[in-house]
Amino acid sequence: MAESFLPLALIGVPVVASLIIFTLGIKWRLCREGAAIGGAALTAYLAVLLARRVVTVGPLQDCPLDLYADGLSALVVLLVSIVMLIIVGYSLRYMQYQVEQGLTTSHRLVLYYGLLMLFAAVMMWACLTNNMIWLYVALEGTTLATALLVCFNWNNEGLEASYKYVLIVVTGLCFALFGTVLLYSAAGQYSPGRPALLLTELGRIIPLIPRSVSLLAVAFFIVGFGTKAGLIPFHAWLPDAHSEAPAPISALLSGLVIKVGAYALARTVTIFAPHYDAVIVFVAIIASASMIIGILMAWAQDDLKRLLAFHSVSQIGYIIEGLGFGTYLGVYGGLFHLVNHTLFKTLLFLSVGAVMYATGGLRRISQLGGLGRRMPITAFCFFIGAIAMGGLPPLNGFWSKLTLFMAGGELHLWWAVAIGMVVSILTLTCMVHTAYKVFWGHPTTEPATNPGIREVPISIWLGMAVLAVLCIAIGVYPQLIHPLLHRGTESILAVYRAGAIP
Amino acid sequence: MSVLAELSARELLVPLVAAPLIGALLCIFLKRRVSDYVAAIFAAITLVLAIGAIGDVFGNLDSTISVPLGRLPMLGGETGVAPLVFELSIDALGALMLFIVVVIGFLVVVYSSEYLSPNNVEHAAGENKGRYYAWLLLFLGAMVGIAVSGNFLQMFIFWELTTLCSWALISHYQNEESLRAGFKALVMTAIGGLFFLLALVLLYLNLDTNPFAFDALGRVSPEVRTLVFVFLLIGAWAKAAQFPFFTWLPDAMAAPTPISCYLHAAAMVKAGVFLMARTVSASFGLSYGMGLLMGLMALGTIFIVVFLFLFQDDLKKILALSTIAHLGYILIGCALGVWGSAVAFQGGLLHIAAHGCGKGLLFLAVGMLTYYTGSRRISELSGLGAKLPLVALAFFVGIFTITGVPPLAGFWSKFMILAGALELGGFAAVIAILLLIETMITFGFFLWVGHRVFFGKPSAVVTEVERSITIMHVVIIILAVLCAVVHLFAIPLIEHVPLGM
Repeated sequence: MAESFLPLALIGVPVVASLIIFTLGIKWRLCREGAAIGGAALTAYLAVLLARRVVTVGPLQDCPLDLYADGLSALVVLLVSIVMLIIVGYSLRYMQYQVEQGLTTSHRLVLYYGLLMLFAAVMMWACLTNNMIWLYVALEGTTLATALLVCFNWNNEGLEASYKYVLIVVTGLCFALFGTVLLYSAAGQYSPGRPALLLTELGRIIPLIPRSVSLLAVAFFIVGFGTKAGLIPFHAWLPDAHSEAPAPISALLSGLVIKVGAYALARTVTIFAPHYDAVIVFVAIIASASMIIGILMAWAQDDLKRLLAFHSVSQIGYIIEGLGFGTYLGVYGGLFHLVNHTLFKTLLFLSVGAVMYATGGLRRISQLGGLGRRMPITAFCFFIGAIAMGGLPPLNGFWSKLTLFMAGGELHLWWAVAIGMVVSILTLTCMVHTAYKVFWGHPTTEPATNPGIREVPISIWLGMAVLAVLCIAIGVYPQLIHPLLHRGTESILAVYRAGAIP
Repeated sequence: MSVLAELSARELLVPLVAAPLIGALLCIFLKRRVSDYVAAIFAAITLVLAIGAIGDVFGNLDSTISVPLGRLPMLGGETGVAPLVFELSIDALGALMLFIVVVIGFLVVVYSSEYLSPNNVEHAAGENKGRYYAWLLLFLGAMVGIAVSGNFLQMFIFWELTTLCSWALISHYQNEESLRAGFKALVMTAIGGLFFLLALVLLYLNLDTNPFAFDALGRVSPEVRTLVFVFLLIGAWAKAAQFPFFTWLPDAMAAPTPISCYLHAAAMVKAGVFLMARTVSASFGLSYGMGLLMGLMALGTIFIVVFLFLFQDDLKKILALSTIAHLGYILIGCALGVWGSAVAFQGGLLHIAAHGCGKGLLFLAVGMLTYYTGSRRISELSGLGAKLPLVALAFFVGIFTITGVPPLAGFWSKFMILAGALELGGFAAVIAILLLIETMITFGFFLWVGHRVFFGKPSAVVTEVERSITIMHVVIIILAVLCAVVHLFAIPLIEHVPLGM
């Protein structure tokens, strides 16, 4: 295992960027927008370096700080940093427009970009730490960093959503802390001190501790990290927070915040799954419930952002189901869907943001119609995202769902496969229905017929176009990210196999 | 052409699939007249490449030329061998399908340039042509892909792509009716697609090597084989608009007529029967019950449709219903193939080509009717023969082809299906007699429709027709000639399609 400064640098760069923004950002724009985009770009570059080294060399670590980067970390770090870069790039014009509209003031942007970079730093930390307690701390950090961003508009709805968000997620994450403590106290007698807290040692510890303690810890982890991931029944914060936040932050919440919950589940619950069949079935049940209820709720929405938020609840079910299977195909499919969902859901939220930008804040499906003629690029991006989420080939969502169905069949969980397929078709129809209501046909209501509506500027659609191209590229050539996904899956399997060796 | 002759199908397959996709990408950015030419050029390139590839198949009719393109690494698991997923191949059956897809595709593209113009009385349109051609060429590319797919999963990818394209094209006019019709088509065929997917999952879990190959059904246990076959059949039913999924097809008549033509003659619905033809051709050990299920459902669909004929006034909807019945014929041909009759199976395959040309011609003729008159209601039309003699001729040739009047292509295909059925005897003979009855009813009905529309006193909308000569006339002449000769080309091909038993 190679020592490396890369994990530390990945956390350090956004922290430094954030410090620059908070101290100098009020005076100079360069130290605000410039530092944010520069920090995000540098982080993305370092993440590419990290991913390349992990694929070629193997896991990297920074021992004194308990930092550790294996395939899974590299995958999520790369994904997070690329999406962060796109979101920051999108924010430049979008937030400037908010200032021009008088919705916020110029100096409050310091808070916006500063928190964004701070969020990036804790995100990196969460994905790079090897210590269970620190993982919990970093997860709390991501909640706190985004809480103020959710209520950035400083209106009543935003404050309520933000309060709800902090309350539910912090309470939920406490359970993860209970789980960690429980595990540590049980494991302490076999391997006292620090190793008992290491994520990489978990595989060795699990066979040693009693079944009841294990299952209780798993239940705590599912509640804790499931809250963060937005699983039903712990999802109540998600639709409100998504719909009240500014569009780039909605994209951030769905693309990244809930994914870190899934990441934490992959680090903990997945390791238990091969030891206890009950875990697989329990996770599959809760994930399936999340899929079904999420999609049914989505069908009932008129607000585009709430609709997408409920789709996130539904899609996170696929990810967690796959991770819960604990087999190669299952974990691979779960991680694959994690990547794909981040790409297309970020794309969808950014497209909705573009629609709101162009129409002056309209986001009700019933108020919109026929936008495709005047906003062809946004329409194209939204359709790509919609069809990708619906799981039609040749777009990326298809391949991850296919892998998950095969993983479910392999374990003979045919009911889970059936639910996955039915939800997949409901997702497709819901998204296509929404897309054609908004972008095709003819506008009926007054605000949508406004002749002033036209395509958003390039600085906004560029990031969307990149995501759309990524969706198509992975769909047409799914081998593209296989090396990273394979490494990520292997690194999880390696952890629990370490315990299987007598 | 000499360069083309030197290239083998091996090199031609990838450009063949890529050409229409590149054309589709270009067309997105083009408008009006330019998009007409670009679309026609790319459709023509596809046609030429396809003819090159088919020519190669004629060189050795019993071989399969295949081009492996890539594996899907994750399905190999940690250590196993990843199955071949991306693979193009062409054999006699694929060549037959490919021929129909590219010829009718090319003709439809050319026909569209005039149909979607301000001169069209029913839908004066010239807007959004770029988008129209982009989807149409993508559709063409997807159908070419289905014809030259090397395994089930590869076929599924193109299969879902055709679902997407037909949804977009049915919705083309973007009025309330067409949007709903397009959505309905998408939902129904996507549900069918799920069953196809389920069949793929089952095959993957039950086979260690080449789980998606066309002969996979012969290598699994009988229980799994039954399940996989039934799932594939349900997928095919949804795509080919068979009972109980048939309602989307008449609604899809909200599409522009060239699209309806392509949807019916060569694409989409033919993909469904092509899947069944592939399965029956390549699978060993299909049981009698599977054939019975396929045959009975097809027979039921045919008779439901005959009944529905009587209530229709809309010419396009009548043609749509007739398509459903003819797809039933093809499926009955496949079902008889399962029972062991090679002749009937080949008849079913020939009917793919015969019905493609005949129904394509009928749709294009009706498209011209609406282009000139603005109406497609039988009750509003009469005496058109004097005004539009060529359209009248084309319509009758179309009718004679699909109902099976010798010596047109439809006669030979129906003859082979019936001959095969009678040869088998027993219940198959009963099917043959029922099919004969259906043919006679349909023949009478269509004669009445033709008589009503083209003969007699000109009605109000007809007297206003202004005659003109357009590219559409050339297209229907070519297609009418094809109706008379397509079997000469197709019979050598179908004689070399194996029938696994």
